[in-house]
Amino acid sequence: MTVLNLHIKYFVSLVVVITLLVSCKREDVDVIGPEIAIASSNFELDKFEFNTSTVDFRVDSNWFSAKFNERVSWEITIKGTQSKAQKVIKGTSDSLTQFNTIWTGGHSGLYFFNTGEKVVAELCVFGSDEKWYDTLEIKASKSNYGENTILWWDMVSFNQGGQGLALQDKTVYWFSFWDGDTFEPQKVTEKLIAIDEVPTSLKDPVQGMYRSMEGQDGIWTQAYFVGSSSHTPYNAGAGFEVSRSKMYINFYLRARTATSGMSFDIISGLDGNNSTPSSLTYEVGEIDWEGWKLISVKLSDMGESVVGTEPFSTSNITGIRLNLQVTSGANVDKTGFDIDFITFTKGEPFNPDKF
Amino acid sequence: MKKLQLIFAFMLICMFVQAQNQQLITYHGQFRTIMNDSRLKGNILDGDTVSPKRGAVGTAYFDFGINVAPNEDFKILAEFRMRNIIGQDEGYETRNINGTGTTRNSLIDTRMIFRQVRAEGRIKDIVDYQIGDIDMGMTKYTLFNNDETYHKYESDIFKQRRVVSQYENFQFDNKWRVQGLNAKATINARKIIRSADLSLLAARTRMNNLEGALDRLLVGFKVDITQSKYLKIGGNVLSFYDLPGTSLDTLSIYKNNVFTTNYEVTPYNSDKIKFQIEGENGVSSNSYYVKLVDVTAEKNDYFIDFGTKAWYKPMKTSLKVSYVNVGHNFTSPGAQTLKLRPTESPLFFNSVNNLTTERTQTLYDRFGDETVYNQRINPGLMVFLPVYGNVLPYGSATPNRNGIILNLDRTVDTSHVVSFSADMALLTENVSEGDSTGLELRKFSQLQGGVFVNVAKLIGFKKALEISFGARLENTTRGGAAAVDFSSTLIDAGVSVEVLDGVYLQGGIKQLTGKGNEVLTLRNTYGSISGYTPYLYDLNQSIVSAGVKLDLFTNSFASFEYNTIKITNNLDDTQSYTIGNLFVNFTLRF
Repeated sequence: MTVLNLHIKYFVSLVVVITLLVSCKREDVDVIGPEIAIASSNFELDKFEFNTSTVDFRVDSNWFSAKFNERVSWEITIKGTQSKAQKVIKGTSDSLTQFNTIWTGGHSGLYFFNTGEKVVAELCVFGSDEKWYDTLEIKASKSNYGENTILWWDMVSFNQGGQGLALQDKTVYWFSFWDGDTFEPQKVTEKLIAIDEVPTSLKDPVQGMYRSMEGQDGIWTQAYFVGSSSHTPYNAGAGFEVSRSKMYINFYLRARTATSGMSFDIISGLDGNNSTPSSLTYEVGEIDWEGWKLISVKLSDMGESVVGTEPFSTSNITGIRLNLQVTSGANVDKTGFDIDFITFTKGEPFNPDKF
Repeated sequence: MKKLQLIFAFMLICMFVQAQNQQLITYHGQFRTIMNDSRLKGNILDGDTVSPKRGAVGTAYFDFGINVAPNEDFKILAEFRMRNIIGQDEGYETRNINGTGTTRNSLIDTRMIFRQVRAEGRIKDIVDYQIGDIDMGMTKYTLFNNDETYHKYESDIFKQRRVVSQYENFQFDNKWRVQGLNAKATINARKIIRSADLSLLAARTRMNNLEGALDRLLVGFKVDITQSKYLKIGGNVLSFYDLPGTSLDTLSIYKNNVFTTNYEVTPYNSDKIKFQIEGENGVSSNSYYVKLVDVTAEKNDYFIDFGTKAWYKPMKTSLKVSYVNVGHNFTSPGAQTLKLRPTESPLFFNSVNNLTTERTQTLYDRFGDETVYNQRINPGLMVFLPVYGNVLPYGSATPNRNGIILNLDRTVDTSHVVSFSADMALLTENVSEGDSTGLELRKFSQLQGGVFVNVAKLIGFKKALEISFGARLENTTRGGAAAVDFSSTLIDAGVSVEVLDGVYLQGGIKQLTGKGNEVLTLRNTYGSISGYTPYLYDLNQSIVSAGVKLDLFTNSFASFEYNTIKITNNLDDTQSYTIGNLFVNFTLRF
């Protein structure tokens, strides 16, 4: 037992060390997280409805009204019946008012609400198995995302300054289509793919309509450049009077094939007799994610590709150029991407959920 | 095709070289063909003209590993993967976890990857090391990949399916697959201590990018000291942190440290009875700096896990009683990250209701769908679904718990006729979550266990005959203004009968019932509570599976099984459905 006693001493020492180790003070709080209130079995509400039955989000907003007989946590999910758009509003209160449910047309996930779309709002009260619904028609979807956002191209109108194509080997082309088989695709080149060849899973624009760039390069045995297209809607230039580190370009991007890659350039200034534009460039690289993704790139993270007559100005952006790449080896592989809703934002990346 | 030719040429060279020197190069491989044919039926399809109702896919994988050992102290493993989507056609495709993409050739997929690469060896007969793709684990409070659902006594027919998902995601033995370095050494001494095992790991879990993300490193050190047959102590340090300066424009800096000590004291050990005091205690510190607002959020906390364990050796049975107290701010990403992403839509029938609703994972998806598994250590707590485990959703390191845990266990050993275990946990929260008026705490109870019986040995049957049964019951309650009341029951039963030499009939049942009112706690990227979502649940899930397994040769088999997954939604019967799934698994290893 002497040996055992010796070891017990070691253990006591160990316990002392451990006790010291854990003697740091734990945060002295009674509750963590936001407030939550669960409905009792007596929960009732008098009504649940939108403020109006239609809304024009270009100029107006909407909210919900309801009165509860007790304070509860609630969640309103607004879903588009045509788009995959969704907006979630949450809170804890004894009523729904314009002060806690205001909706200015933004969305919570990737997808935007459509003009002319009917939306369904579902109210879910924590602890209640009952759900309440109301509908609203969107006369016009949101087009203004505040003074810190410039909508460069929503992809709905190709004629909005599109310059067409810059083909490298005559196999790169733009095409576009609506989210539905009933609309004819807007033909841009003779190499347009037939709409019925495009699987349903790809016909879901983030907003209204998207555009695709697809091509196949028979020249290069290695990656990368397949072709590009420029877009110049503002000849007078647009942007913000801020440093490059305070300005972002944002767009939604999706791969069409497993070898898809892209880069893009932002152009400042005009190409004239006595002037050459400056440009910044950014390599997105392989589009290795599934489905749509919002890309936001700070202009200060972009490389300076061309220094023109005037230095690059964040307030004088005159064009963007989208470059299609193939990321791995096969010179026979078709490659492409889908792109939607290009914006410039000041101060922070584009976040439609704020609205 | 060029790649294929190169690889085959390389393989031939390897085999030739091996023929010259058996010691230098060896190889191993696995060929697996999996075919799935699933059909969706039920009320959920009423009025649905768009959503897929049948999904069939077949994939052949060939993993070829080459072990190069130029000397006794050094070895390199390189494992290639070739994959062929059976019946793949040229054209547009969706992308999935396997990187499905367009190919010009519908019979051969030119995609080929290095599945894993690792160098390992021994330095001066003291230090064993591994560099490259390595599997790492420490203790249950530092680095541990917890099971996603209780399945200790599930049928073999389910295990075979689970093994595929785990293999595809490098989920082995509760360890995490990381890319880095691991070194181990044992020091033998004769005086104050008998021996000390030292272990070091360093891995990068995230690469910096131009968007402001820094390199994220996982660095750990572990020492286990055997002082005598009476006393073992250990120390564990694990840091998970961003490396400043690795990105041009830092947006945030994350840092988490965990320090723990574990110990085993054995004051009594006779031929029949052994008594042990054991446990692990530790602290964590967490900081998250956000440049945009120039604020650093900090969390510090500790945990205590102190237990006593007694063995009755003639029955190979042990009983352990532990007190646990894990602080609400205890942060240990390596032990708290979930094995899978619970809110990820499954691969099959991922959209329903005219493609407007994402189908949520079922119990079947959680072990049969490799695309929902998680391969990354997450810096903060992930959202979990209470029906699959509400008492200890993040394993032993689940924060905001204190109480008593009991474990009764008979060693699982197939040479014995019967093995069993039973665990009970009676826990409460340390701090109320969200009930700012009543400050009420959740109370948790859990009872789980099962039994495995080798019937063939019991009755003297010459061929294999095994049955298993397991169950887990959970209950969660909280009173006051934020009352919750949620319970779930999981039942597992299985049988495997060898009807001819190497031919097995297998069957299995899983049933999960969940009912009640709970709340999903939403968290931001770094684990702080950002809000809640109501979780009103009344669902029965049942899986009935039957099949045949044929042993081909060592570690190789072919299995054919049919699974019926029935989801009954008692809150909204229009969302009830059934999936019938034919699954064929042909696995050859050499």
